[in-house]
Amino acid sequence: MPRPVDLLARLPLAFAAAFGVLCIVLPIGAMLLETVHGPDGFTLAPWATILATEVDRQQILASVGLGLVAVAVAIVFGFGHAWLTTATDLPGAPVLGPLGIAPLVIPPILVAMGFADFAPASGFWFCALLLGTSYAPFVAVMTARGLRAVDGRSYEAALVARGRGPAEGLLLRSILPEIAAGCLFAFLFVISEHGVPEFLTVKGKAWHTYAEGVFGRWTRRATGVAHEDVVSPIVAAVPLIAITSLALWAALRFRARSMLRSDFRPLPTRTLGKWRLPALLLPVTYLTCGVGVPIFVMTRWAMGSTQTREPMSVDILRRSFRAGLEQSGDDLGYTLLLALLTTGLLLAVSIPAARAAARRFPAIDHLAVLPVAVPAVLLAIGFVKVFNSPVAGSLYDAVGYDVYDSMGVVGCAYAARFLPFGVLTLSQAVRRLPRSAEEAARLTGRGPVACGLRIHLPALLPAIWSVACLTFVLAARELDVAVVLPAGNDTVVRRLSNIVHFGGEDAGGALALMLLVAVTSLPILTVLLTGRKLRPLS
Amino acid sequence: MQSLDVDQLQFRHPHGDFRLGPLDLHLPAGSRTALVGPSGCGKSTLLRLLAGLERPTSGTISIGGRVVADGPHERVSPAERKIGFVFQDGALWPHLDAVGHLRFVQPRLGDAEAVALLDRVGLADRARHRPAALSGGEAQRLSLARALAHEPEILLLDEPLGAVDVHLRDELALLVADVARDRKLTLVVVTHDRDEALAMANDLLVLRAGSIVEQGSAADLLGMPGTGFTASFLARAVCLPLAPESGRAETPFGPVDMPPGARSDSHVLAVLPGDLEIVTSAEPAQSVEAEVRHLRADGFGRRLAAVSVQGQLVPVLCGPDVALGDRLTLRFRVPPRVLPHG
Amino acid sequence: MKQILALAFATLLAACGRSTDVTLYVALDQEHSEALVRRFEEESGLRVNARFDTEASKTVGLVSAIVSEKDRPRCDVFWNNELAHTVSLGQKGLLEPYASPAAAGIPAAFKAEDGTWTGFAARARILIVNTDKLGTDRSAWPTSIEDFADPKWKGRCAIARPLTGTTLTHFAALRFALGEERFQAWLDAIQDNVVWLQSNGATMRQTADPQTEIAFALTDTDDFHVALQKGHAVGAVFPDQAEGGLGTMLIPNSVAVVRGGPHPEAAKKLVDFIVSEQVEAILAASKSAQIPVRAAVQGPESAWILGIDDFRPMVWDADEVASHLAELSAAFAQRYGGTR
Repeated sequence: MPRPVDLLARLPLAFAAAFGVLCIVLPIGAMLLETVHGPDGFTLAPWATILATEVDRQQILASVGLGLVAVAVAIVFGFGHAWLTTATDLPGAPVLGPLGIAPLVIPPILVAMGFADFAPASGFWFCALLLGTSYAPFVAVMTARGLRAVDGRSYEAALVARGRGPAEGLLLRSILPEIAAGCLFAFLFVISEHGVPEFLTVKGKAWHTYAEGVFGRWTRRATGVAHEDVVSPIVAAVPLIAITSLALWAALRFRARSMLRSDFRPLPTRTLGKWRLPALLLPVTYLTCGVGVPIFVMTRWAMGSTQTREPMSVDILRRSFRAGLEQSGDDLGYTLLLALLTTGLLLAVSIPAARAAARRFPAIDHLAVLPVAVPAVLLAIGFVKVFNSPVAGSLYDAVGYDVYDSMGVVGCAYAARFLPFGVLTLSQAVRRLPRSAEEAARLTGRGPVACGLRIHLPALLPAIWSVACLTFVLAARELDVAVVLPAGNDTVVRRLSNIVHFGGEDAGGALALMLLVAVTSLPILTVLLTGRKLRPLS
Repeated sequence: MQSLDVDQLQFRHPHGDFRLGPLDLHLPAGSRTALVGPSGCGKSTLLRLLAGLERPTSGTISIGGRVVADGPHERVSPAERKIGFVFQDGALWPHLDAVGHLRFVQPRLGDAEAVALLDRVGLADRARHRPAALSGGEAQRLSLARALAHEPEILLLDEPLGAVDVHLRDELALLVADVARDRKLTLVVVTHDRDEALAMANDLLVLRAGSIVEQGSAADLLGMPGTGFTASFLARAVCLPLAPESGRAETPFGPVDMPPGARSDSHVLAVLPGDLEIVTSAEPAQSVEAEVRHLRADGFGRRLAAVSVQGQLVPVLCGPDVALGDRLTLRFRVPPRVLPHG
Repeated sequence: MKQILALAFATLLAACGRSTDVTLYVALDQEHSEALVRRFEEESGLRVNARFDTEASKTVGLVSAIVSEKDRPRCDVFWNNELAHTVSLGQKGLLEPYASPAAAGIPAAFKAEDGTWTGFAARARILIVNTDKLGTDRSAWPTSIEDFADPKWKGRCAIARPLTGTTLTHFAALRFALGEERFQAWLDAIQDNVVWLQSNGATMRQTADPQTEIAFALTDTDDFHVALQKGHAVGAVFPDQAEGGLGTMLIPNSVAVVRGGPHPEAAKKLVDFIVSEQVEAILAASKSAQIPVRAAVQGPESAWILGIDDFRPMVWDADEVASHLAELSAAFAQRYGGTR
């Protein structure tokens, strides 16, 4: 008979499991069920259409190609930035380092649109560069995480034994799990991006990505009556899941087996010597591409670049900001709150899930990646099916609280979508912790709650901080889920995409800049308030 | 003070072919026992089973006569077994300082009490240091203090001195022994170091391939090791293989008598450093020629020589007059020890 | 962190506390529709829970939501900025017939026979012309969609890929207006002549941009009006107005009551407001310059945008188009969404 305190200890995992069932298995399961449930009963016919056409096959190749090139860009920028700002005496590293996450904030579609306004920008390579830069923060955050988790003595041992080159090689090998996870995330986001490739390939159509094809099918679902039309976007997501699984399998092969010891020493700071100043070029280029260009094009918009009635001016800029604030000041608050809710929820689910994945059920790592492997629209519609089902409805009526129409359901959907970041990052961190430190806590006789809060959680704190920063930024800019769920209506990004389409680039640019400032300043503010060191990338 | 009893204890690793037991064991209250044996013999596993960190496949573990584990059923949780555990790597919590470690174990511990406990292990001036700022020895002292803060009846130590500077090991080992004596703790230490074992424990328990091969007081086993392994582990013996001959066995020292039931493939000739003596005149029987290959000081004015007898190196205690390369005549001063391999 | 979470949950609960009298899903530009919704709230005293679509979702969002919510409808009124998707919702049985008395002045051509939807405030599918690139002499301007097939415009004219939105509806309507054979011939003829762009917004921007080659393009009147407002050198042509010509495609806003919605009575009041003359007038005067379908209502200020009686609209059957939209969209996706 388990004691109450033991039950209490199982509560977080039970919560994570319930979340997994409710927000991942049921929504995606409901969608898959739809594909085999035709008008005449069970059917597998729609599944036969997967990659059936030459067009589909070429698109998927284009997607993988785009993903690989963009990941290469992300590695150059993200890994380079993290390594230089974390492990060397690069001037200004403490300031440059945390900025590495900023390119993620402004959705790349806006950057593409703003950029195209004043310079010819199109084609595969530009698309790969733009997306690679935009998603390089995944690699940057993960690399920095890895570099901070490596015991400096193992590096020094190799340095003494074999010299600098082999020592760096060994270091690289030991943070490969983190780099691989960062690349995986960047790859997933690139191949599921449909707006940017579509926008950047408008002229002289030469290639299309698979995500564009999948997105096009959603229109057919909206208009179609035939079962095949309705379910075609769902089965079309299957190759994306397959590619994701493959990428995940590759990434997990590098999984950490090294343990941290309690007398852990951080990596020594490498001196760059005469390369100290030239090395600045990489972070500066990265931040120019990832932050400078977006700020530039958004400022141009806000200054009135898309109209010819009056010349661009600071006055227009002021008006744009006023218009942006008037239209969606509330949305900005709502978005930040939603991002916080998502972050809290994601941590509450991924911490117990990651501990279980690292210690008992490695399969959780694989399962948790599912929500980011399916297109966001699919997950969101699955959410509608589950959270607006008659069963759920009668439940809401019973408790007098309509979850479906609340921020809660959007927070859950976001948290489900971004869960892999939490689970993969944290399970990696748990694996690096020595079991004996946990066993020592267990033997003290203090309850599981005390052990959890005072021993297990603090040990994971750096990794939790990385996850929280990433989730917060991703939640603040998520669009596809917000588009489907009615309660996602009040997010800034949704408003932004609306304004920009209807010719309001000026107010849109101002709004994008406000979002950038709000999202990046919030982690910094938290740092200042809580007195933590300025390390959003730790 | 609590006794520790193990009855028909068996453990099988769920993902491997490792097996422990069945073991029967009685460690009286207040006894101090070292678990020794070659790597992979199961000594750490046995310690973890006693602590409750692993669950037995079958058999029981009792503490003070109370069954704490009955097969896979945990009757008493690890935290309630009144056990202090010192881990091999310290297993400290990186984010807590020394006092924080003790306070986590005993939240009611006052500042003065915490410092007093740290003082007991020689860490009074490290009260506010975190593990990263402690040396290997200090980390193990903190680990010991943490174990003591739990006010244990039984202290379990898993290779506690592995990461500690050699010159500090004795000091630390004696500290453990003192503490165990002061607090009347039943102590079990896993170690692969003879000096460590002898400094901390009175009794020895030799494990091999998951079974107990020898058990007894350190003094007895030191003088009369029952197996080749014990002889080499405790007494720096060299074990030489035996070549079979009818009723006797051929060794570099000539044929020796086999004890009843002994077999040349399962037994060895164990040569302890004190077993051979140097003789001045060649006697026809019972003596062999040897050449001094290595010499090292053994303290107390003696030296330990490794001499080559028909290509086999064996240990001999010698005085200051012996030099490298000398040729000596040796003979057994005790009957040759033919022991099971162990 | 705890305080922040507590705050988040407090706001969450507060957000759920607000009562709703009617829920509206709007696919029309939020900037305009939001003000109208507030106006309705003031006039009626009812609290409207309005959900807006975005261009990024290409109507996938709200239509998908209504379809997915069919077991437990949340939306009372769907206000679409075009017609085809509304009709297709009706064909799926998701709409409730309602003949609004306020729509009495709307011509029958803009109302569903079964009363499931009402059309109002329309956009025309016009040619946006850059007056710097083509000059101000209108005789040199294109006049018909057939001009997209003229080799002299090769690389200088643009159309959005007909995969979504009004261009999809337009192409689908052309398929029936021209007949299969003529339509395919037209598609083949324009294939390499036209620069295929991502959206009507893009065709507008590319035409307005002095740096590009694009001299004219097919777009909606609202996109054209945005360009005009921004001061670009552009003009509009209502195509195919010649005697016996095809006429200009007109796509009205549409509004419908969702079947089984939670507030059926309030829904009717909201529909009455949306199809009213004052809303048509406001939309005509707005940045999107919608053409009132009632001749009596004052049209957009710009002389480029004609009144409903001043041009010949193309005749198209919304039911026929809607019922073939999915299949045509799949075919277009094969043709335009794929590798060359």
